[in-house]
Amino acid sequence: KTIGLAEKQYIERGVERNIRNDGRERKDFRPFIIETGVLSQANGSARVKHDNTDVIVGVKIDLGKPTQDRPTQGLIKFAVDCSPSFSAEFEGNQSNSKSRGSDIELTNILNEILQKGTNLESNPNSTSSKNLLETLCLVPGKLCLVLYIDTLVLDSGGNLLDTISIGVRSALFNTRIPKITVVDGEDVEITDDPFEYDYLDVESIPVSVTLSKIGSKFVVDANSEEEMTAEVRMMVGVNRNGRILYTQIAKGGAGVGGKPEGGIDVKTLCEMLETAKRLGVQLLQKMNSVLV
Amino acid sequence: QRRDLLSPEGLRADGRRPNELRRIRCKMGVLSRTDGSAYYEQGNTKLTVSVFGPKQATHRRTAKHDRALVNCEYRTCAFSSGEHKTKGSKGDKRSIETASIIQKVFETAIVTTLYPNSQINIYVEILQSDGSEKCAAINAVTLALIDAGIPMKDFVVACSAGYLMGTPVLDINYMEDSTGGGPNLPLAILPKSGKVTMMQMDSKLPLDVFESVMNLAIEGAKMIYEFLLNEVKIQNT
Repeated sequence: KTIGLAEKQYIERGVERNIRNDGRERKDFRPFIIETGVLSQANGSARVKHDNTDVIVGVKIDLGKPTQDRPTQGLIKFAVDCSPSFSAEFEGNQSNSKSRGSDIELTNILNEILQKGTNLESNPNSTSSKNLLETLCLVPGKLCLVLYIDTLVLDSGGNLLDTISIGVRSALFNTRIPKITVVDGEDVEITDDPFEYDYLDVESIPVSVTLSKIGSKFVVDANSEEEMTAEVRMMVGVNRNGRILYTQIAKGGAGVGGKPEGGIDVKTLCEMLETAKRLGVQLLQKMNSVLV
Repeated sequence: QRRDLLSPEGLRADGRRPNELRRIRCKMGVLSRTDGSAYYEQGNTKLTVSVFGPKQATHRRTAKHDRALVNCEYRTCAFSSGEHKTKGSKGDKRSIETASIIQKVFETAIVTTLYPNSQINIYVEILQSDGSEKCAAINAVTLALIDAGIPMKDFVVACSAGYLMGTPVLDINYMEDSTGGGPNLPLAILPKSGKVTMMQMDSKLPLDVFESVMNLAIEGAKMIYEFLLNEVKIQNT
């Protein structure tokens, strides 16, 4: 799918005046619809619909061995799969470098954000003093829980990264861990009772906010046309305290013709980080009120 | 354990009677970037199908000069079943076999002579598996092809049947299939003519019993056909 020069200019001039092509203001998100518990065979799941974007996240739990340098922590393994229905360009041979590039990019960024988020200090309001990964440890150095988080992208209407991060947080919120007791310091007993389970503490899990620079201004939650018009985009991982855990700047679409300069000037960069922080915290508060 | 699958009152483990189908729900046109798509649920088996085409064949050498090529890819998601499968499965033998079956079935059902030198791609994604995925996939592909507007000679509808404790049963779920439940007979028909286009069985059945199981599967397929025909009419007006 491509976009013509006239449309790009239309979008850019609208953004200058704080009017986007779907009527939003620069800092407005599109509405999200989050459905949790959609996969009965997964330990936790969520489906997020956001304009045209449709993403399913499933969380499954398995037993594993902790890594040598972090013996008291469990593991999180994250994967994103862009199904061929996501875009006609990506269909066909899945080893096509274009589709793999997108899968891999999304996987890496979200993996970074998750790892950073779950490694920090725990929620001061919770009773335990462990952070999320430490709660997954069963026998230090020998046995731990592994969370497999798999995302399937069915359809995309722009801003896939933020939608997936919301889906991941919702699926983790929904995840039920069966009660496990450690026996003899080595073996574990997993309860068969479907009503005996714990929930995960997702307070520390961050969310990602992507800002796209169009012309001299930037917008949040870009749709597909805006993504193709943006010259540069910045992805920021924000947690509930407003701390920025991760940021990456990447090249956007082709940009409006005749402007070969990429990158972001420092003043705009600081503005973008401030905005991302503010919006991220708002988003997390909104999510918490809905997911409860 | 075989005994638990069919109670003395004649009810199966999930409360169904032997000739009862699971609840079917379907929706066409669910994905915006495809030419045709469908979401299909049969009990706890859930899947989506997307169809692209007819479009120019990607490899000139494989294109046929007088008809369209039909390609199929079948994928199960990592979270679809009891254990976690790393990175989903697409290249394993089972998926390739199922893809090949679907491809052959629809090659005959689609009027391919209308689109020479072109290609129709069908992608099946199993979101959740609870038995009879092949049959559910075939039904969903029919809906997706209709949604894409690709001409077909007839619907292709599929249903599975088995044999538990002396009774033929309809629409096998995962438990009935795996825990020594007996033979599983998935079968696909073209409903208007009643012709069978696909049939498999993976276990032994005496010949007289076989006929009753096969007829049950055909009846089940016809019931599904009535349902799908009605759904297509409702969803496309």
